[in-house]
Amino acid sequence: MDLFFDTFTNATSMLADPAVLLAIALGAILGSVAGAIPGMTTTLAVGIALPFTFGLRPITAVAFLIAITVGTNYGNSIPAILVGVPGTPSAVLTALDGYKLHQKGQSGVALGTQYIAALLGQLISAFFFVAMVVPLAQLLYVFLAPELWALQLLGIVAIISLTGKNVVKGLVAGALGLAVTMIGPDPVALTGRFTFGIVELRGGLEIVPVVIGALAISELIRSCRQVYDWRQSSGGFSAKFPSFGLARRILRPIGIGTVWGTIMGAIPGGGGVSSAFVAYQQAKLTSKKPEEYGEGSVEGLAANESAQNASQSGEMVPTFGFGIPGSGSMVLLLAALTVHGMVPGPLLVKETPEMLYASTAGLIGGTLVLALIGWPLAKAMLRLVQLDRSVVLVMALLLSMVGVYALRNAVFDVGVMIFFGLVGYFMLRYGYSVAAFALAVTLGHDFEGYLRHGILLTDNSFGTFMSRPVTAILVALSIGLLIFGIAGNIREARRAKAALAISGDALVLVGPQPGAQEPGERVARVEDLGGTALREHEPDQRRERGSDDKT
Amino acid sequence: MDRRKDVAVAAAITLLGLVIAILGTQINLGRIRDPIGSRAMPIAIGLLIMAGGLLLAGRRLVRWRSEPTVVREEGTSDEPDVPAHTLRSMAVWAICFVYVLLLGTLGFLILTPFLLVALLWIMGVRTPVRLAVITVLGIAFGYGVFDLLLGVRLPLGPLDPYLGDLG
Repeated sequence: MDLFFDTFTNATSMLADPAVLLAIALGAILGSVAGAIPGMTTTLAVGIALPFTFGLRPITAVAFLIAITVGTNYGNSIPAILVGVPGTPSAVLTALDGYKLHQKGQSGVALGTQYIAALLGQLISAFFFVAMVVPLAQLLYVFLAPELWALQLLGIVAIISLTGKNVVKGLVAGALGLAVTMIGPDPVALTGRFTFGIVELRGGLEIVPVVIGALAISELIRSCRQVYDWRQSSGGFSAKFPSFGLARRILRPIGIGTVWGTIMGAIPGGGGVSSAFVAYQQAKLTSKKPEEYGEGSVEGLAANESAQNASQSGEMVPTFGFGIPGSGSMVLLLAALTVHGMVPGPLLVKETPEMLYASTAGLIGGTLVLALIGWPLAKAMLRLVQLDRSVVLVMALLLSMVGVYALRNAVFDVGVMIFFGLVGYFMLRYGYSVAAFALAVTLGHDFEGYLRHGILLTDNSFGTFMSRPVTAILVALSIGLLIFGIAGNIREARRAKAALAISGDALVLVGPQPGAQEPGERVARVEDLGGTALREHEPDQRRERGSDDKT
Repeated sequence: MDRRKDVAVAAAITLLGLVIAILGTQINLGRIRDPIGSRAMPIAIGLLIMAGGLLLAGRRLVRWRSEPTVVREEGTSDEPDVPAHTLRSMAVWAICFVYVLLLGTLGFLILTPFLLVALLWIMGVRTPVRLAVITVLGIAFGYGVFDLLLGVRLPLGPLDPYLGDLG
C-alpha cells in the first residue's frame, strides 16, 4: 500500500521538476501532432522520438516517451472525426461514429465527447495501472530464474497467440527474434556465437536499432509502396462542449471503456484496437439505444475513445509489472531503458522505482496538459491531414537514421536498423508478427540466461525446474494460450472458407495486378480457381434454399 | 496475398532455420560448462524455425490445387483503391542501404541531399523548387538538432576539418 501512495506522491513531485514537466508537455503535444497524422502509429512516433531521449535523464526520457503515447492516443481521433481518416488503427471505430456525427453537423458534440472520454479514460486508467502494477511487482520479488523464464515464455506466447492471423507464423517470428539475440556472447559460458569474425558483432547486436528497424523502418518502407494524398478536409467545425445531459449519458460507456481498455491492454498483444472493439461491443450490449451504434452514437464514440486511451495504461502493466512489454511502443520504451543502463525485466520496479514514478507522471501529466490545450489544438491539428504524405515518410526515414546513429555514433547501428527494416517489411507483408519478433529480441538474452541459470539452480534437473509450482502454472498457461491461438486461427480459417463458398460466383484478384497506367484488374471466379469449398457447404445451402421455398 | 510468394518466404525461412541449426553445432563450448550448453538453444531455435517454415510451405503446397493464386491476406494490407508497387519500397530500401554504406566516407552534409532528392523523387515529389526547399530544410533540421543542439558528432567526411568543431 505504501508503494501505491508513494508512487502518486513521487509522480506529483516529479511534475514539479521543470525539466520533467517541459518534457511531458512537449511529449503530449508532439504525440498529439503525430497521432493526427494518418499512418503515424504510436510505435512509429515513439521510434522516431526515441533517439532524442538519449541525452536526457532516464526519468525525463521515460516521462517524455509515455507522454508521447498519451498524446498519440488523443490526437489520432481528431482526423478520424473531422475527415473520417483514423490517425492510427485504434481510432477506426472513432471514424465510424465520430465522422457520422460530423456529417450530421454535430462536430462539436463529437469532439467534445472524444475530449471528455479520452482524457477521463486515460486519467482513471492511470490509477488502475498503479493499483495493478504495485502488487505484481512486489509478487515478483520472490521469483527466481525458473519463474522468470516461465514469465517471459508466457509474454512471448501471449503476443504470438493474440496478434497476427497465423500462430505458426507468430511462432516463427518469435523464434527469429530469439535467434537474433544469440549473436554475440553466450549468457553463461560467454563464448562468442554467430559473430562470423565481425568485430562489431562480438558484443551482440544493440537492441534499439534492431527493434526500431523491425517496428518503425519496416512500416515506413511498407508505406512507400503507395503514393497518395490523405483526404483533404473542406469545412471547419463549431467548438461546442456536449450538454450536461449528454455528458451524463456518456459516463456509463466511459466506465465500460476504461475498465475493458485497461484489462485488454494489460494482456500482451491485446492492444488498443482489440480494447476499442471489445468496449464498443460491451457498451452496445448494455445500451438503451443500441440502434444508434455505427450511425453516429456518442455512447459508442465515448466507449471506444476511453478504451483505446485506457489501453495505454493497461499496456504498461506487464511492461513494468513483469518486464514484458505489452505492445510495440512498450518494446521501444524498454529498449530506451537499456540505453540508460537499466535492465528491463521483472525487477525493474524494485531496483528503479523512479521509473514507475516517471511513467505515472507521464500518464497523469500528459493527460493534464492535454486537458488544458487539447481543445484548442484540435482545430490546428486538422491541418496535419493536409501534409504531403510522401514528405512525412521521407523525413521520418531520415530522422530515424540520424537518431539511431546518435545512439553510439556508429554507422554500423544504422546499417543494422536498415537491414532489420527489410526483414520487418517482409514480415509485415506476409503476416509474421513483428511485435513478437521485437519482443523476443528484447527478452531473448535473458530468456536463455534464465533457463540455463534455472537448470543450474535446480541441480541440473529439468523435472525439478518445471515442477516448481509457479513455473508449472505459467508454462501451463503458455500452452493453454498457444492452443487458444491455434483454435482461433482454425475457427477464423473455417469462417473465411465458408464465406468464400457462399460467394462462389464472386470475382477475386488473381496474379500480379496491373499498374496505375493500365486500368482494370486481373480477376477470376472463385469456382474456376478450385470449387471444393463450395461443395462442402452445398448441403447447408440446399437446406437453406429449401426452407426459403417453404416460406 | 500471392501464395507463390508466401511459399517462397516460407522456403527461405526453412533454409535460414537449417543454417542456424548447422552453425549452432559448430559453436565453441568454452570452459564454463552447464547442462544445456552454448549449442543447445541455437540448435533448438534453428530447428523450430525450420519446422515452422516447412509447415507453412507444406500446408500451402498440399492445398495448391484447391486454393486460388491470391489467398486470404495474413499480413498488413495496402490502402484499397491505390496502386501499390513493391519495387518502389525496394528502391527506397536500397537507397537507404547505399546511404549507410557511404555515410562514413562522404559524410552527412554531402550525402544527405542526394538521399533526400532520390527518396522524394521516387515518392512522387518532382517539382524542383519543392525538392530543393524540402531537402535544405531536412538537412538543416537534422544537422541543427542532432549535431549543433544535441552534440551528436555526425560523420562529416571530407568536411570534417572545416565543420568538425561546430557541434
